[in-house]
Amino acid sequence: MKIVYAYKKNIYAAYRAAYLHLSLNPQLIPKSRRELMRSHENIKPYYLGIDEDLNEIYIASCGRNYTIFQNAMEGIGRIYGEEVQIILIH
Amino acid sequence: MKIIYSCFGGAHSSVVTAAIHMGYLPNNSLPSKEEILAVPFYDKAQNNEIGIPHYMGKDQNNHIIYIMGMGHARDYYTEMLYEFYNEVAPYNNKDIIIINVTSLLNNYTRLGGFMSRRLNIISLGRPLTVFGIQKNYFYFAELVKNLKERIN
Repeated sequence: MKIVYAYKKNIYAAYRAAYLHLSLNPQLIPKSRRELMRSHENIKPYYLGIDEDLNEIYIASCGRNYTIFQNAMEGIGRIYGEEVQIILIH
Repeated sequence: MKIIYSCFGGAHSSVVTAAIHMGYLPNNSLPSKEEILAVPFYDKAQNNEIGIPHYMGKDQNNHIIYIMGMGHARDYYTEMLYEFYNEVAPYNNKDIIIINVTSLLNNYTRLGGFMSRRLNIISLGRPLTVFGIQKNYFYFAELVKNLKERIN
């Protein structure tokens, strides 16, 4: 399964949640929030790692509309037989 | 090959283009109002369904056709989906095309779609969408023809 932590503006919170999911120390998140935003300007899901259940963890900006993002990502997953879970971090 | 026709709400232009591709609607003559209204999914998508790819069928060359709404940020979601596709199916040899047909829309269909899907004034909105689709119908047919030439 692929788990995507989606954010609208607060990328740091999404990183923190993903790090906790991966049992990593959130204090290891390397950059400031502004630098994180700058390093994530490309439109794509950023791969962070694999959790203990072998789920792949991603971070992605959900753009303007969370519902469309969730429907579209889960839809692509369904088309290719891949389970996708989207978790919105406010 | 999987082909996703996308538009704003996934209710009108993408449905008509997919129907032309599937052969539900003619590609060299103007369909009647009844023919357009008989297309599956036409003017049916609800707001909370925007983003869900709906299966339309398989064409004669076994390409799988979907329709999808993408709201205002269609460029953003198109790019995101292509990138996510690389993660979901990394070993596939790029077997997906997302085609946005919103640019072929006219204001009749936009207004009709807004009235029908957003304001729920179906009796006025739906005929207006059909009128708008008929006015630009051959643009949709041309797009399908070009795509078929490219992929077949």
